[in-house]
Amino acid sequence: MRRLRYKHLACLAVVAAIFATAQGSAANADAVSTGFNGIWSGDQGVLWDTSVKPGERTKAPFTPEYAARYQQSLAESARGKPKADPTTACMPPGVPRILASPFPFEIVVTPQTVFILYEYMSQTRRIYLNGSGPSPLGTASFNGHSTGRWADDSLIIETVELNPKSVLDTTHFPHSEALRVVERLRIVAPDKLEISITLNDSKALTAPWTVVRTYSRKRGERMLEYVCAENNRNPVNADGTTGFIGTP
Amino acid sequence: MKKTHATAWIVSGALALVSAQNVFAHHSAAMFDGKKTFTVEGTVKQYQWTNPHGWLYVTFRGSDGVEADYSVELTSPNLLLRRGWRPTTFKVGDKVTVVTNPMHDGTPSGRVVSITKADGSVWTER
Repeated sequence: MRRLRYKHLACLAVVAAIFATAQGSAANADAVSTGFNGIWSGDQGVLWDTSVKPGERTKAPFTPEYAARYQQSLAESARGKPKADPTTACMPPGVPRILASPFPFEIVVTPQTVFILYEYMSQTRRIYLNGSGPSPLGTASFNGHSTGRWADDSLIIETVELNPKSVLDTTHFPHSEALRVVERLRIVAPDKLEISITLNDSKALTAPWTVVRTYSRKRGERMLEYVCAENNRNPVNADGTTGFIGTP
Repeated sequence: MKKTHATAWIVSGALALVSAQNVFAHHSAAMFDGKKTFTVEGTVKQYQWTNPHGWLYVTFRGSDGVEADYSVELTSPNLLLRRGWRPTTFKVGDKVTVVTNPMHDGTPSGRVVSITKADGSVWTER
């Protein structure tokens, strides 16, 4: 009886080995995709254009209309009266600004969907893979509608239907409702994630414009709660500038 | 300017605010004057460990002898926690020396540069 049991186990092992070989390429693909799993934190600052210092103008190729809008925001900030943006009122930063948050995020890869759980404003993005998941709704939202596909060592994410209320940073880097964001995620070194982010926006930009950001894996990090409405002392003034309540 | 219990305006480089820009996600830093620092010595009136910003409220005695309050904006407690700050780092009545980048509009408030406690420990966001 005991010998028979060992025989069964041996047969199972052989079958498993054959199955594993046949599934080799799939296993490699799994290894690539699951390599993105974990908690990451951005290496660059919160300004969208990583090539400039605070106070410098972005090199983004704005159309005249959006260049004028951006310039007006800079002038207001130079007067010490910065315009409020949606996050000041505790609305989400949206895509793509959330990629420049100073807070960590967690990537969870499943066969049909990649979930990205952001600490900042407790946001969740769902990236629908390989044509699965719902179609665009024809309505704009802060995080938009994201689809993804695996390409060699990369995850390519395209996001549309983005809310034009969002700006890309505290300088009020603007975008339009035509914005289509393409992110290319890949692991470029042990524990180093690179995301190349291309903005395609025919109304705001004269050409597609790319920034590359990197993120470090945070082993043992604990994701925390972030509830912006808990104690927001920056109400939006009637003139659209950022308020400040300095009393307890 | 002599720094006693009175307040002192000190013109300094803008470096403190520039490096602090990286934790400004919720609102612009443009309301603060990155070219100045302001130093106030006083006692902790309240320490708020909340999002989107932590706050330290300090009571100080002005050069005219009158007590007044000064509010200090901190970054998110989520980031402070990762830099070693805790909800118990400051207690009501603690003596502190606070350096800020002050508000442009003269409001008695500023963005934290450093806080020094009586035990000599110095707290910054970096």
